[in-house]
Amino acid sequence: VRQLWAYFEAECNPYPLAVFRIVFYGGLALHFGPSILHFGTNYGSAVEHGTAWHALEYLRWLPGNDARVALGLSAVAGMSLGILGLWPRLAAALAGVGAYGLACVGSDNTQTLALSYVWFILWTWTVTGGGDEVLSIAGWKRLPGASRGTRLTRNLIALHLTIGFFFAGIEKLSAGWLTRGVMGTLLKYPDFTILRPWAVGLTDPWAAALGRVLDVATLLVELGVPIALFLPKCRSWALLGMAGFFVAIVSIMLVPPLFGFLFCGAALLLADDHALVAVATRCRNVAFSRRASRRAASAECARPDIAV
Amino acid sequence: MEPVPALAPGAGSLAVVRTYARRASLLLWLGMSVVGALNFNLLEERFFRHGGALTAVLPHLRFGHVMFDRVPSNITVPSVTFADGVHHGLSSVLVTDSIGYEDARGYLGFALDPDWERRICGRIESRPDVTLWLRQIAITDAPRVKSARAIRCDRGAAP
Repeated sequence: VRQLWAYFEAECNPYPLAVFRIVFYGGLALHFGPSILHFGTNYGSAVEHGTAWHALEYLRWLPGNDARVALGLSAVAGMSLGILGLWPRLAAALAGVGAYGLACVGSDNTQTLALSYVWFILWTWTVTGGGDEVLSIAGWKRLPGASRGTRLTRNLIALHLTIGFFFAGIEKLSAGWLTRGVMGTLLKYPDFTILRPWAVGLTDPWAAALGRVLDVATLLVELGVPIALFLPKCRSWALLGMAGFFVAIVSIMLVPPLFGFLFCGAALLLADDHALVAVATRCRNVAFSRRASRRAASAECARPDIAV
Repeated sequence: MEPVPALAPGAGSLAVVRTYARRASLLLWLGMSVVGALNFNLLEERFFRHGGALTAVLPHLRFGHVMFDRVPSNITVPSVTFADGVHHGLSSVLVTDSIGYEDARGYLGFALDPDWERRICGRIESRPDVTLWLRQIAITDAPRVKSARAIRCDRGAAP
Protein backbone atom coordinates (compact mmCIF):
# COMPACT_ATOMS: atom_id res chain seq x y z
CA VAL A 1 0.00 0.00 0.00
CA ARG A 2 2.89 2.34 0.73
CA GLN A 3 4.14 1.75 -2.81
CA LEU A 4 0.71 2.70 -4.11
CA TRP A 5 0.79 6.03 -2.31
CA ALA A 6 4.40 6.55 -3.32
CA TYR A 7 3.18 6.43 -6.91
CA PHE A 8 1.44 9.74 -6.21
CA GLU A 9 3.40 11.23 -3.32
CA ALA A 10 7.11 10.61 -3.93
CA GLU A 11 9.35 13.12 -5.65
CA CYS A 12 10.29 12.65 -9.30
CA ASN A 13 12.10 14.10 -12.29
CA PRO A 14 10.34 17.44 -12.95
CA TYR A 15 11.04 17.58 -16.69
CA PRO A 16 8.22 15.38 -18.07
CA LEU A 17 5.53 17.46 -16.34
CA ALA A 18 7.20 20.71 -17.38
CA VAL A 19 7.35 19.57 -21.02
CA PHE A 20 3.74 18.42 -20.80
CA ARG A 21 2.76 21.81 -19.32
CA ILE A 22 4.19 23.64 -22.33
CA VAL A 23 2.75 21.15 -24.85
CA PHE A 24 -0.65 21.14 -23.17
CA TYR A 25 -1.10 24.92 -22.87
CA GLY A 26 0.44 25.39 -26.33
CA GLY A 27 -2.06 22.93 -27.79
CA LEU A 28 -4.89 24.66 -25.97
CA ALA A 29 -3.81 28.06 -27.30
CA LEU A 30 -3.64 26.63 -30.82
CA HIS A 31 -7.11 25.15 -30.43
CA PHE A 32 -8.87 28.22 -29.00
CA GLY A 33 -6.66 30.89 -30.61
CA PRO A 34 -8.51 31.29 -33.94
CA SER A 35 -11.91 31.56 -32.29
CA ILE A 36 -10.61 34.12 -29.78
CA LEU A 37 -9.07 36.15 -32.60
CA HIS A 38 -12.57 36.34 -34.16
CA PHE A 39 -14.15 37.00 -30.80
CA GLY A 40 -17.22 38.88 -31.99
CA THR A 41 -18.22 36.15 -34.46
CA ASN A 42 -17.77 33.29 -32.04
CA TYR A 43 -18.53 34.72 -28.62
CA GLY A 44 -20.18 38.11 -29.26
CA SER A 45 -23.49 39.08 -27.73
CA ALA A 46 -25.43 37.77 -30.76
CA VAL A 47 -24.05 34.23 -30.33
CA GLU A 48 -26.42 31.64 -28.84
CA HIS A 49 -25.49 29.21 -26.11
CA GLY A 50 -23.16 26.44 -27.20
CA THR A 51 -24.78 23.06 -27.41
CA ALA A 52 -21.89 20.94 -26.19
CA TRP A 53 -21.23 22.33 -22.71
CA HIS A 54 -24.35 23.20 -20.74
CA ALA A 55 -23.11 24.33 -17.35
CA LEU A 56 -24.15 27.96 -17.80
CA GLU A 57 -27.54 26.85 -19.08
CA TYR A 58 -28.11 24.89 -15.88
CA LEU A 59 -27.23 28.02 -13.95
CA ARG A 60 -29.68 29.90 -16.18
CA TRP A 61 -27.04 32.53 -16.74
CA LEU A 62 -26.27 33.93 -20.17
CA PRO A 63 -23.17 36.08 -19.75
CA GLY A 64 -23.38 39.60 -21.11
CA ASN A 65 -20.80 40.99 -23.48
CA ASP A 66 -18.49 42.28 -20.74
CA ALA A 67 -18.55 38.93 -18.98
CA ARG A 68 -17.72 37.16 -22.25
CA VAL A 69 -14.75 39.45 -22.81
CA ALA A 70 -13.64 38.72 -19.23
CA LEU A 71 -13.84 34.98 -19.97
CA GLY A 72 -11.72 35.49 -23.09
CA LEU A 73 -9.10 37.48 -21.18
CA SER A 74 -9.07 34.88 -18.43
CA ALA A 75 -8.46 32.09 -20.98
CA VAL A 76 -5.64 33.99 -22.68
CA ALA A 77 -4.01 34.91 -19.35
CA GLY A 78 -4.25 31.33 -18.06
CA MET A 79 -2.75 29.80 -21.21
CA SER A 80 0.07 32.39 -21.25
CA LEU A 81 0.92 31.83 -17.57
CA GLY A 82 0.79 28.07 -18.18
CA ILE A 83 3.24 28.21 -21.08
CA LEU A 84 5.59 30.50 -19.14
CA GLY A 85 5.33 28.35 -16.02
CA LEU A 86 4.13 31.01 -13.62
CA TRP A 87 1.75 30.27 -10.74
CA PRO A 88 0.54 26.89 -12.06
CA ARG A 89 -2.59 26.77 -9.89
CA LEU A 90 -3.67 30.25 -10.93
CA ALA A 91 -2.82 29.50 -14.58
CA ALA A 92 -4.98 26.37 -14.56
CA ALA A 93 -7.85 28.14 -12.78
CA LEU A 94 -7.84 31.08 -15.20
CA ALA A 95 -7.54 28.88 -18.27
CA GLY A 96 -10.20 26.52 -16.91
CA VAL A 97 -12.77 29.20 -16.09
CA GLY A 98 -12.04 31.16 -19.27
CA ALA A 99 -11.93 28.36 -21.83
CA TYR A 100 -14.79 26.42 -20.22
CA GLY A 101 -16.91 29.58 -20.10
CA LEU A 102 -16.17 30.28 -23.76
CA ALA A 103 -17.12 26.70 -24.69
CA CYS A 104 -20.42 27.20 -22.84
CA VAL A 105 -21.05 30.45 -24.71
CA GLY A 106 -20.29 29.09 -28.16
CA SER A 107 -18.50 25.92 -29.24
CA ASP A 108 -19.40 25.68 -32.92
CA ASN A 109 -15.74 25.98 -33.90
CA THR A 110 -14.01 24.38 -30.96
CA GLN A 111 -16.09 21.43 -29.82
CA THR A 112 -14.26 18.13 -29.66
CA LEU A 113 -14.30 15.19 -27.26
CA ALA A 114 -10.75 16.13 -26.30
CA LEU A 115 -12.21 19.03 -24.31
CA SER A 116 -13.47 16.57 -21.65
CA TYR A 117 -9.82 15.71 -21.01
CA VAL A 118 -8.82 19.37 -21.08
CA TRP A 119 -11.35 20.38 -18.42
CA PHE A 120 -10.33 17.42 -16.28
CA ILE A 121 -6.65 18.38 -16.47
CA LEU A 122 -7.35 22.02 -15.67
CA TRP A 123 -9.62 21.17 -12.70
CA THR A 124 -6.97 18.79 -11.36
CA TRP A 125 -4.07 21.16 -11.91
CA THR A 126 -5.95 23.95 -10.12
CA VAL A 127 -6.02 21.79 -6.99
CA THR A 128 -2.66 20.04 -7.18
CA GLY A 129 -0.38 22.70 -8.73
CA GLY A 130 3.21 21.88 -9.69
CA GLY A 131 4.96 21.62 -13.03
CA ASP A 132 6.76 24.96 -12.74
CA GLU A 133 9.99 23.62 -11.22
CA VAL A 134 11.94 23.66 -14.50
CA LEU A 135 11.55 25.07 -18.03
CA SER A 136 9.73 28.02 -16.50
CA ILE A 137 10.25 31.59 -15.41
CA ALA A 138 9.75 30.47 -11.82
CA GLY A 139 12.53 27.91 -12.12
CA TRP A 140 14.87 30.24 -14.05
CA LYS A 141 17.15 31.13 -11.16
CA ARG A 142 17.12 27.81 -9.38
CA LEU A 143 20.24 25.67 -9.48
CA PRO A 144 20.10 22.86 -12.04
CA GLY A 145 19.01 19.65 -10.35
CA ALA A 146 17.87 21.47 -7.24
CA SER A 147 14.20 21.06 -8.11
CA ARG A 148 12.31 17.82 -7.75
CA GLY A 149 8.72 17.63 -8.90
CA THR A 150 5.88 15.91 -7.12
CA ARG A 151 4.36 12.87 -8.73
CA LEU A 152 0.82 13.82 -7.78
CA THR A 153 -0.07 16.09 -10.71
CA ARG A 154 2.05 14.15 -13.17
CA ASN A 155 0.72 10.69 -12.41
CA LEU A 156 -2.86 11.78 -11.78
CA ILE A 157 -3.09 13.35 -15.25
CA ALA A 158 -1.25 10.45 -16.90
CA LEU A 159 -3.34 7.80 -15.20
CA HIS A 160 -6.66 9.45 -16.04
CA LEU A 161 -5.77 9.94 -19.68
CA THR A 162 -4.57 6.35 -19.84
CA ILE A 163 -7.87 5.18 -18.36
CA GLY A 164 -9.75 7.22 -20.97
CA PHE A 165 -7.59 5.81 -23.77
CA PHE A 166 -8.00 2.22 -22.57
CA PHE A 167 -11.78 2.46 -22.23
CA ALA A 168 -12.03 4.00 -25.69
CA GLY A 169 -10.62 0.65 -26.84
CA ILE A 170 -13.13 -1.26 -24.68
CA GLU A 171 -15.96 0.77 -26.20
CA LYS A 172 -14.76 0.02 -29.72
CA LEU A 173 -14.40 -3.65 -28.89
CA SER A 174 -17.95 -3.81 -27.52
CA ALA A 175 -19.25 -1.83 -30.53
CA GLY A 176 -18.03 -4.61 -32.81
CA TRP A 177 -14.85 -3.22 -34.33
CA LEU A 178 -13.55 -6.76 -34.81
CA THR A 179 -16.48 -7.79 -37.00
CA ARG A 180 -18.13 -4.71 -38.53
CA GLY A 181 -15.36 -3.31 -40.71
CA VAL A 182 -15.69 0.16 -39.19
CA MET A 183 -12.50 1.67 -40.60
CA GLY A 184 -13.26 0.11 -43.98
CA THR A 185 -16.51 2.13 -44.06
CA LEU A 186 -14.72 5.26 -42.89
CA LEU A 187 -12.08 4.95 -45.61
CA LYS A 188 -14.88 5.13 -48.21
CA TYR A 189 -16.23 8.44 -46.89
CA PRO A 190 -16.40 11.21 -49.50
CA ASP A 191 -14.79 14.63 -49.48
CA PHE A 192 -15.78 17.31 -46.91
CA THR A 193 -16.37 14.79 -44.11
CA ILE A 194 -13.77 13.05 -41.95
CA LEU A 195 -10.91 12.11 -44.25
CA ARG A 196 -8.17 14.49 -45.27
CA PRO A 197 -8.51 15.43 -48.96
CA TRP A 198 -5.46 13.38 -50.00
CA ALA A 199 -6.89 10.26 -48.38
CA VAL A 200 -10.34 10.45 -50.03
CA GLY A 201 -10.70 7.61 -52.53
CA LEU A 202 -7.02 6.74 -52.20
CA THR A 203 -7.66 3.27 -50.84
CA ASP A 204 -10.82 2.49 -52.84
CA PRO A 205 -9.92 -0.93 -54.28
CA TRP A 206 -8.59 -2.25 -50.99
CA ALA A 207 -10.42 -0.05 -48.44
CA ALA A 208 -12.18 -3.01 -46.81
CA ALA A 209 -8.99 -5.04 -46.38
CA LEU A 210 -6.98 -2.08 -45.15
CA GLY A 211 -9.86 -1.16 -42.85
CA ARG A 212 -9.70 -4.60 -41.21
CA VAL A 213 -6.00 -4.12 -40.54
CA LEU A 214 -6.62 -0.65 -39.10
CA ASP A 215 -9.50 -1.93 -36.92
CA VAL A 216 -7.24 -4.53 -35.31
CA ALA A 217 -4.28 -2.14 -35.07
CA THR A 218 -6.42 0.50 -33.36
CA LEU A 219 -7.70 -2.00 -30.81
CA LEU A 220 -4.21 -3.32 -30.19
CA VAL A 221 -2.86 0.19 -29.55
CA GLU A 222 -5.78 1.43 -27.44
CA LEU A 223 -5.93 -1.70 -25.29
CA GLY A 224 -2.25 -2.60 -25.32
CA VAL A 225 -0.37 0.68 -24.97
CA PRO A 226 -1.95 1.71 -21.62
CA ILE A 227 -0.86 -1.64 -20.17
CA ALA A 228 2.57 -1.59 -21.83
CA LEU A 229 3.24 1.89 -20.43
CA PHE A 230 3.22 0.38 -16.95
CA LEU A 231 5.69 -2.38 -17.84
CA PRO A 232 9.22 -0.96 -17.68
CA LYS A 233 10.58 -3.23 -20.43
CA CYS A 234 7.85 -2.24 -22.89
CA ARG A 235 7.58 1.43 -21.97
CA SER A 236 9.78 2.97 -24.63
CA TRP A 237 8.04 0.90 -27.34
CA ALA A 238 4.65 1.96 -25.97
CA LEU A 239 5.73 5.60 -26.13
CA LEU A 240 6.74 5.23 -29.76
CA GLY A 241 3.54 3.30 -30.51
CA MET A 242 1.38 6.03 -28.99
CA ALA A 243 3.19 8.77 -30.94
CA GLY A 244 2.96 6.77 -34.19
CA PHE A 245 -0.74 6.10 -33.63
CA PHE A 246 -1.60 9.79 -33.33
CA VAL A 247 0.63 10.84 -36.20
CA ALA A 248 -1.18 8.25 -38.36
CA ILE A 249 -4.64 9.43 -37.22
CA VAL A 250 -3.91 13.11 -37.71
CA SER A 251 -2.39 12.52 -41.14
CA ILE A 252 -5.36 10.46 -42.44
CA MET A 253 -8.31 12.01 -40.63
CA LEU A 254 -9.53 15.51 -39.90
CA VAL A 255 -9.24 15.38 -36.11
CA PRO A 256 -8.10 18.21 -33.87
CA PRO A 257 -4.37 18.01 -33.08
CA LEU A 258 -5.36 18.65 -29.47
CA PHE A 259 -5.84 14.86 -29.11
CA GLY A 260 -2.24 14.28 -30.11
CA PHE A 261 -0.95 16.98 -27.77
CA LEU A 262 -2.88 15.44 -24.88
CA PHE A 263 -2.23 11.74 -25.34
CA CYS A 264 1.37 11.85 -26.56
CA GLY A 265 2.07 14.28 -23.72
CA ALA A 266 0.37 11.97 -21.23
CA ALA A 267 2.44 9.01 -22.42
CA LEU A 268 5.54 11.10 -21.83
CA LEU A 269 4.36 11.73 -18.28
CA LEU A 270 4.44 8.01 -17.57
CA ALA A 271 7.97 7.61 -18.84
CA ASP A 272 10.60 7.29 -16.15
CA ASP A 273 14.17 8.43 -16.61
CA HIS A 274 15.24 5.07 -18.06
CA ALA A 275 12.51 5.08 -20.71
CA LEU A 276 13.31 8.66 -21.74
CA VAL A 277 16.99 7.81 -22.07
CA ALA A 278 16.15 4.65 -24.04
CA VAL A 279 13.96 6.55 -26.55
CA ALA A 280 16.50 9.36 -26.91
CA THR A 281 19.30 6.83 -27.44
CA ARG A 282 17.29 4.93 -30.05
CA CYS A 283 16.50 8.14 -31.97
CA ARG A 284 20.14 9.24 -31.76
CA ASN A 285 21.35 5.86 -33.01
CA VAL A 286 18.98 6.00 -36.00
CA ALA A 287 20.08 9.56 -36.82
CA PHE A 288 23.74 8.60 -36.35
CA SER A 289 23.55 5.54 -38.61
CA ARG A 290 21.78 7.57 -41.34
CA ARG A 291 24.40 10.33 -41.12
CA ALA A 292 27.19 7.75 -41.25
CA SER A 293 25.71 6.07 -44.34
CA ARG A 294 25.24 9.48 -46.01
CA ARG A 295 28.88 10.32 -45.31
CA ALA A 296 30.01 6.99 -46.67
CA ALA A 297 27.94 7.53 -49.82
CA SER A 298 29.29 11.05 -50.40
CA ALA A 299 32.86 9.86 -49.80
CA GLU A 300 32.24 7.13 -52.36
CA CYS A 301 31.03 9.71 -54.91
CA ALA A 302 34.00 11.98 -54.27
CA ARG A 303 36.55 9.24 -55.07
CA PRO A 304 38.50 10.31 -58.19
CA ASP A 305 38.31 6.88 -59.89
CA ILE A 306 34.52 7.01 -59.74
CA ALA A 307 34.44 10.64 -60.91
CA VAL A 308 36.54 9.65 -63.94
CA MET B 1 13.77 4.28 -6.50
CA GLU B 2 12.59 7.36 -4.68
CA PRO B 3 12.03 7.15 -0.93
CA VAL B 4 8.53 6.02 -0.08
CA PRO B 5 6.77 8.76 1.87
CA ALA B 6 4.98 7.83 5.00
CA LEU B 7 3.30 9.69 7.75
CA ALA B 8 6.11 11.24 9.82
CA PRO B 9 6.45 9.72 13.29
CA GLY B 10 4.91 12.02 15.84
CA ALA B 11 3.03 13.99 13.20
CA GLY B 12 0.14 15.98 14.58
CA SER B 13 -3.38 14.67 14.26
CA LEU B 14 -4.23 17.45 11.79
CA ALA B 15 -1.43 16.31 9.48
CA VAL B 16 -2.68 12.73 9.70
CA VAL B 17 -6.24 13.79 8.87
CA ARG B 18 -5.01 15.89 5.97
CA THR B 19 -3.00 13.00 4.57
CA TYR B 20 -5.89 10.58 4.77
CA ALA B 21 -8.30 13.16 3.34
CA ARG B 22 -5.91 13.73 0.42
CA ARG B 23 -5.59 10.01 -0.23
CA ALA B 24 -9.35 9.47 -0.02
CA SER B 25 -10.02 12.29 -2.49
CA LEU B 26 -7.36 10.82 -4.76
CA LEU B 27 -9.12 7.45 -4.81
CA LEU B 28 -12.47 9.14 -5.33
CA TRP B 29 -11.11 11.18 -8.27
CA LEU B 30 -9.61 8.07 -9.87
CA GLY B 31 -12.71 5.97 -9.18
CA MET B 32 -14.94 8.53 -10.87
CA SER B 33 -13.10 8.27 -14.16
CA VAL B 34 -13.35 4.46 -14.10
CA VAL B 35 -17.06 4.60 -13.24
CA GLY B 36 -17.60 7.23 -15.95
CA ALA B 37 -15.78 5.14 -18.52
CA LEU B 38 -17.72 1.99 -17.60
CA ASN B 39 -21.02 3.88 -17.57
CA PHE B 40 -20.64 4.94 -21.18
CA ASN B 41 -19.56 1.64 -22.65
CA LEU B 42 -20.26 -1.59 -20.81
CA LEU B 43 -23.12 -0.18 -18.69
CA GLU B 44 -24.66 1.84 -21.57
CA GLU B 45 -25.44 5.07 -19.68
CA ARG B 46 -27.15 3.30 -16.80
CA PHE B 47 -26.08 5.83 -14.15
CA PHE B 48 -25.93 9.13 -16.02
CA ARG B 49 -26.24 10.27 -19.59
CA HIS B 50 -24.01 12.21 -21.96
CA GLY B 51 -24.85 15.90 -21.91
CA GLY B 52 -26.35 15.84 -18.41
CA ALA B 53 -25.51 18.32 -15.64
CA LEU B 54 -23.20 15.88 -13.87
CA THR B 55 -20.95 15.26 -16.86
CA ALA B 56 -20.94 18.98 -17.67
CA VAL B 57 -19.10 19.81 -14.44
CA LEU B 58 -17.23 16.54 -13.86
CA PRO B 59 -15.73 15.96 -17.31
CA HIS B 60 -13.90 12.74 -16.47
CA LEU B 61 -17.29 11.08 -16.10
CA ARG B 62 -17.47 11.34 -19.90
CA PHE B 63 -14.32 9.33 -20.55
CA GLY B 64 -16.09 6.28 -21.98
CA HIS B 65 -17.91 8.38 -24.57
CA VAL B 66 -16.16 7.73 -27.88
CA MET B 67 -16.60 9.42 -31.25
CA PHE B 68 -15.94 6.70 -33.80
CA ASP B 69 -17.23 3.63 -31.99
CA ARG B 70 -19.96 3.36 -34.61
CA VAL B 71 -19.53 4.76 -38.12
CA PRO B 72 -22.82 5.33 -39.98
CA SER B 73 -23.12 4.16 -43.57
CA ASN B 74 -25.80 6.72 -44.47
CA ILE B 75 -24.47 10.23 -43.99
CA THR B 76 -25.30 13.85 -44.70
CA VAL B 77 -22.44 15.56 -46.47
CA PRO B 78 -22.49 19.36 -46.35
CA SER B 79 -20.76 21.44 -48.98
CA VAL B 80 -21.11 24.89 -50.49
CA THR B 81 -21.06 26.22 -54.02
CA PHE B 82 -20.37 29.71 -55.28
CA ALA B 83 -21.38 31.20 -58.62
CA ASP B 84 -19.14 28.72 -60.51
CA GLY B 85 -21.06 25.72 -59.11
CA VAL B 86 -17.96 23.88 -57.82
CA HIS B 87 -18.41 22.19 -54.43
CA HIS B 88 -16.20 23.30 -51.54
CA GLY B 89 -16.01 22.34 -47.89
CA LEU B 90 -18.04 24.26 -45.31
CA SER B 91 -14.88 25.72 -43.87
CA SER B 92 -14.45 27.88 -46.96
CA VAL B 93 -17.36 30.09 -45.90
CA LEU B 94 -16.76 30.22 -42.15
CA VAL B 95 -14.70 33.04 -40.69
CA THR B 96 -12.93 30.98 -38.07
CA ASP B 97 -10.73 27.95 -38.57
CA SER B 98 -11.11 24.87 -36.42
CA ILE B 99 -7.44 24.05 -36.72
CA GLY B 100 -6.83 20.56 -38.04
CA TYR B 101 -10.49 19.57 -38.49
CA GLU B 102 -12.03 22.39 -40.50
CA ASP B 103 -14.55 20.49 -42.65
CA ALA B 104 -15.00 17.65 -40.16
CA ARG B 105 -16.37 20.06 -37.55
CA GLY B 106 -19.07 21.19 -39.99
CA TYR B 107 -19.89 17.61 -41.02
CA LEU B 108 -20.11 16.32 -37.43
CA GLY B 109 -22.46 19.16 -36.56
CA PHE B 110 -24.98 17.77 -39.07
CA ALA B 111 -24.48 14.27 -37.70
CA LEU B 112 -24.94 15.19 -34.04
CA ASP B 113 -26.92 18.41 -33.66
CA PRO B 114 -30.50 18.57 -35.02
CA ASP B 115 -30.33 22.36 -34.93
CA TRP B 116 -27.04 22.57 -36.83
CA GLU B 117 -28.56 23.57 -40.20
CA ARG B 118 -30.03 26.74 -38.70
CA ARG B 119 -26.88 27.48 -36.70
CA ILE B 120 -24.54 27.06 -39.66
CA CYS B 121 -26.88 29.07 -41.89
CA GLY B 122 -26.72 31.88 -39.38
CA ARG B 123 -22.98 31.98 -39.78
CA ILE B 124 -22.88 32.12 -43.59
CA GLU B 125 -25.92 34.33 -44.00
CA SER B 126 -23.88 37.35 -44.91
CA ARG B 127 -22.76 35.61 -48.14
CA PRO B 128 -25.75 35.75 -50.55
CA ASP B 129 -23.74 34.14 -53.38
CA VAL B 130 -23.36 30.95 -51.39
CA THR B 131 -25.55 27.87 -51.73
CA LEU B 132 -25.37 25.25 -49.02
CA TRP B 133 -25.76 21.66 -50.24
CA LEU B 134 -26.81 18.74 -48.07
CA ARG B 135 -26.31 15.46 -49.88
CA GLN B 136 -27.47 12.15 -48.43
CA ILE B 137 -24.85 9.60 -49.38
CA ALA B 138 -24.98 5.83 -48.90
CA ILE B 139 -21.52 4.46 -48.17
CA THR B 140 -21.29 1.21 -50.11
CA ASP B 141 -18.56 -0.25 -52.30
CA ALA B 142 -19.47 2.51 -54.75
CA PRO B 143 -20.83 5.38 -52.61
CA ARG B 144 -23.92 6.94 -54.23
CA VAL B 145 -25.90 10.12 -53.65
CA LYS B 146 -29.43 9.21 -52.51
CA SER B 147 -30.75 12.76 -52.43
CA ALA B 148 -29.52 16.34 -52.47
CA ARG B 149 -30.97 19.53 -51.09
CA ALA B 150 -29.85 23.05 -51.90
CA ILE B 151 -30.34 25.79 -49.35
CA ARG B 152 -29.93 29.50 -49.82
CA CYS B 153 -29.45 30.60 -46.27
CA ASP B 154 -30.74 34.09 -47.05
CA ARG B 155 -33.99 32.69 -48.56
CA GLY B 156 -34.71 29.38 -46.84
CA ALA B 157 -34.71 25.88 -48.30
CA ALA B 158 -35.01 25.41 -52.07
CA PRO B 159 -36.34 22.26 -53.78
